[in-house]
Amino acid sequence: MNGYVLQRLLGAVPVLFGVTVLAFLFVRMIPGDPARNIAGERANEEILAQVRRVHGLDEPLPAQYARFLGRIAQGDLGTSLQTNEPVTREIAARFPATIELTLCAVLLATVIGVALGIVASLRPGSVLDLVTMGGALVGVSLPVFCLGYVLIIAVGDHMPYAGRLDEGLRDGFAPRTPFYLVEALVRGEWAALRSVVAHLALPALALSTVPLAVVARITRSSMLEVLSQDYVRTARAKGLSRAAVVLRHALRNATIPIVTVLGVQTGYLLGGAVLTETVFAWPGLGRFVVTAIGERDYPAIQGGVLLFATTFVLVNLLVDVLYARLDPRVRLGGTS
Amino acid sequence: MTPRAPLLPLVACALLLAGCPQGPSSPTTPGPAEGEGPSVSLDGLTDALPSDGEPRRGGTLIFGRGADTVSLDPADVTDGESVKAIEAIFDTLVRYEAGGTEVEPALATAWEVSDDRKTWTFTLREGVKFHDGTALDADAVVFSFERQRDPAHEFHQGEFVYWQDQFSFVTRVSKRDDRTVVFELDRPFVPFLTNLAMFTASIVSPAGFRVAKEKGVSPASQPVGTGPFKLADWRRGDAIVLEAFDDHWGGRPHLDKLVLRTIPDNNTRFELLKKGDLQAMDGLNLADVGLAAQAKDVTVLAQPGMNVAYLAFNNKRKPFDDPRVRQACAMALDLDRVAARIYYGLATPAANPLPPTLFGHHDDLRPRKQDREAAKKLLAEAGHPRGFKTTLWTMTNPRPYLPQPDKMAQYVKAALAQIGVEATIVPKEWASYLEEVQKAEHDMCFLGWTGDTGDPDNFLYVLLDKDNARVGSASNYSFYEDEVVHDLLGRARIEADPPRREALYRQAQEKIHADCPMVPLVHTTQVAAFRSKVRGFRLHPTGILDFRRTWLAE
Amino acid sequence: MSRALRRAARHKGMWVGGVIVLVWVVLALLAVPLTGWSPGTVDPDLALDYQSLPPSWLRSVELPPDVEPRRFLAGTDDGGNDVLGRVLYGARYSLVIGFVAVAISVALGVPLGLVSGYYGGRLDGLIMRCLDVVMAFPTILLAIGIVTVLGQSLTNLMIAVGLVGVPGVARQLRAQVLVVRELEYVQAARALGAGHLRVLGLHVLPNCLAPIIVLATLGTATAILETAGLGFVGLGPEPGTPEWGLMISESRNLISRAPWAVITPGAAIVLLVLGFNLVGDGLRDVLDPRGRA
Repeated sequence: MNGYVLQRLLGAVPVLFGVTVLAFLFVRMIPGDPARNIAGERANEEILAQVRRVHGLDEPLPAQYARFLGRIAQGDLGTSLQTNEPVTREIAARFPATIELTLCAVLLATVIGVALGIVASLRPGSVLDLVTMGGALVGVSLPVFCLGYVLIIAVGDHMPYAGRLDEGLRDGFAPRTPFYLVEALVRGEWAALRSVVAHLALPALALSTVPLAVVARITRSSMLEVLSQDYVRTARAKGLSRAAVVLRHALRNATIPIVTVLGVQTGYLLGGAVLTETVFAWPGLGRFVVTAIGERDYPAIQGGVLLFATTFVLVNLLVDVLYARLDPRVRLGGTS
Repeated sequence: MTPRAPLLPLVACALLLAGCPQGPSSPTTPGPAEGEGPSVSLDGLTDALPSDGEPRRGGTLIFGRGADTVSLDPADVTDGESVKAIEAIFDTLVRYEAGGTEVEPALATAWEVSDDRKTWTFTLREGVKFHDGTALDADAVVFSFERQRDPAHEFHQGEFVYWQDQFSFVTRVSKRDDRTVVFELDRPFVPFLTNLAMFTASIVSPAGFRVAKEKGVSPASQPVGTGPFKLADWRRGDAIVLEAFDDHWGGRPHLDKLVLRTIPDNNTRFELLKKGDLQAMDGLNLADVGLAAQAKDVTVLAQPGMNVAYLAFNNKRKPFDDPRVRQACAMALDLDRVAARIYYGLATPAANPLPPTLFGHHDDLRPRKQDREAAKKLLAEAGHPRGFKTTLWTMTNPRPYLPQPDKMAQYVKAALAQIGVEATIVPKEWASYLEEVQKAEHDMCFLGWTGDTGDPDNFLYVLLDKDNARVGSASNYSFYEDEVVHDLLGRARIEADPPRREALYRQAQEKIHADCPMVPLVHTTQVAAFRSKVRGFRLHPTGILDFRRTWLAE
Repeated sequence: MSRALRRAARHKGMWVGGVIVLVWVVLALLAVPLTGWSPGTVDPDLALDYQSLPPSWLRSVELPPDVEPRRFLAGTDDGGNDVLGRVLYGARYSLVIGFVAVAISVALGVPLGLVSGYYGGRLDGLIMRCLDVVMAFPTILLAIGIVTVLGQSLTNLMIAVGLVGVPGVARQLRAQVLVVRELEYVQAARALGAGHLRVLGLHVLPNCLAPIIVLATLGTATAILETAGLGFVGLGPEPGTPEWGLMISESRNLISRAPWAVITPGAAIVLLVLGFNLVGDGLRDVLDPRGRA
């Protein structure tokens, strides 16, 4: 088991290295002179030269990359060209918001998706099955920004849909960490918790549609597969109740594909957060990176993209490990 | 994805503005005729909220805007969203009067200028305190300017673009005594006093900078000023929380708190205002202004903007080197319709690059009348009887003067098609747009200009003088190089007598109108929306948000 | 095969999806005669007289006497353009962008997946690691990045959406090849001395056709959605093009004033994507019954 985890960890190293190279190069292929964007529209050549010097933009590419890598090793992602603040600080202020949003979306997708999938699988072909799966299909066909607007128009009068917390509650709550949800829960600040959850609800719901639909479908098909297998039939024949069979045998075996799908969907969620964060004024990392692209803020783009990619790699690593726990065969078969 | 709106750097002599028609007014263009579509009449919009009654102390005003502040170092910002917070946290030696661009005393109570107009002496206000409790003295003023001017200064960290642009003629700032500061200039410069009212001339606390340095943090994130509000919290990408400063020299503001919240989407922001989650906002969709004016408990303020949007022809390239082609293209457009429909009546058709509210504006010139037949005839005379193919460059991000660049581009493209000119729209992101058009490779491009203080020189010299038509670093994107105009604008820059100066500008505008190097399109109206219970706020032509005397009624 | 055909005949969802897609193709082709709207023929000044009119069946608006009365089934946008005309015409863009983008994904992804799965070993490891790197980036950011680098145009939009889909195609194909490679007759062909290219082309590829078709159909749906997302963040084709994502983005400021200008293209996206998803699902059930989402 540990050997497998180690092997997967080592496998992630070249991928992460590739991610840094790609992030670095990508950003430099974008047209536009970053110096001019920092200095403003009336800066003359003298000012531009000074800006390039200060920000190291006049060095050759390999030197810039070497410096970039060396700094990453020390946990330094450089200084944002726009704000003159360390990129790590900019990211630290925003990433927790994205994490809480993404996790809530994953939670919604899993709980609702699995429930719908099981319900649909119990009576394949029934009206309930058709409606659930039809809904799931519409779910994967919806652009997330459209759904966002629909939600705002439909229930915006009753639900908050911008920001993370009521401005009025902020003083009483006085969050000490950027993880509002966790902090409110741990400290038992119920009023704040209610507000944080209410603020999370709509964006998380909008963000969760596609993974929710995918999870529902995968749950249904793996349940159907498992339910038709001999040992489940045997269990039924032995007189175990239907619910017990579903929960103890079928669901356990259906977990593997569900976990796998969730791993892949994390990438989608982090990306989808870019659009969701814009519609719902969510102060997260996705919006920060898109703004940074528009502003040619190289260090900020690199840092943000790097963090997204690293998170994706790590989540999938985690999924692989979970997978190995759930399905012992994986540990024996060598390749991914 | 609403982009932040960098402020166009500008400066001018508002001293010369005296007597200019301005002040509270409603937008000058009426909305579309009654019964025509779902438009709402905009008549009756004013530029100020009521300020009658006893001000009520307390409460939080949440202002919604499209993008976060970039930096809170007043000397080192170039974007409008940063300026909004800086104006609340800092004071300047002199400031603009409410609703206008004339200056009045602020941190300086008096000043005098030498006979050669090269030495300015300022007397500082007594008893002014910074947010950190230290007192305002001559050292703080000298620190605020010298750190920008002197590259060897301990705190000379930043690009200081505005300094280079607008204060480079200052040779030294020194202290005569604790309450007196002397500025030495290398030449007489009339607009100097007005420049001192700009955010870039804010007075910062030297102690604040030293503390920040000891802590190893950027002073741009821990600003210490003398302004009516002090920074309480800055949640990046989300909100800036400002608290009333009890010891402000002009009296504590009525509000307890001022929160500048970032809501990137225009629709979301407007919905939040209607719901009451926000008390004020800018960046209203033009299409929604009518709805907002009718909305319950919402008040819309409007004021003619100090700006211009224009369509530049590249005068260096064929076929736009021929004035007849330029005039023909100008005649393809119906600017009244543009102002009424694309700007929803929130703009004035432009005849000049200079906004009509400014000194020197030539009131007798009119936009060219739309006339497709005459335009086709002009094109034929110029040797293009069947029109020609060309390109139309546009920025993709909204600008204060061009809130719907895509709609404008589509209109101009279709209108030109009617006279046989086939234009392809070339969209570019704002971040690379200026750099690209400076290369002079466009045929036509959209651009605009917003003023901070409002002198004609800043519009006409910047946009149309041949000095500014150098490929690679131009601000004259029409690349119009007319000797007569150059001579007139040059003389107007040093002419101290207002009537004579005005005459020079009138001549220049006539010549420009005839040559048609660009089509000035519209002057956009400045708009903001408030909850009706907000009292004591007035729009300012420069876009400054002044919440010192604002309060929330019951 | 006949069993597959029988399954296909019984698969209602696939037929519904097929009809939806077919109807869109027909509407796209007949858009101009049906609605009288086509790009570049409208007088912009006259059009502005019809700015933001509601659908004619919803409520009628009194036009000024000098304006010729006209009816718009889905209303107009704020440029006075017929929304229905633009949406139907815009189906051409979505269909073409979807197909071309998927063609790019398949053209690059299939060879990568084939080679990787068939040869295995170090080459496989290298290709998979590179794809892992690309997949680590959120697709929308990747596509935004590619469009920003290449410059904004219809062609580059298709390239970006196509490139983003490559790793997915390659990985799924590789998985299929790993199975096919071990099939007895493929092993037999190898043993009989057939060259690698021959085995790949004649034996492996044909056995992968079913999943490729399924991938391509579902990929078209994804590509249309991604195009809309790019249009929404302002990276679509030339402004004014009746591409659906761009239409939503250009009219989203009208959502309270002229919601039909946003809802109609939004509904069009959902319908067309749903059609492709139904067909793709059906094809998978029919061609590849053991395949998974």
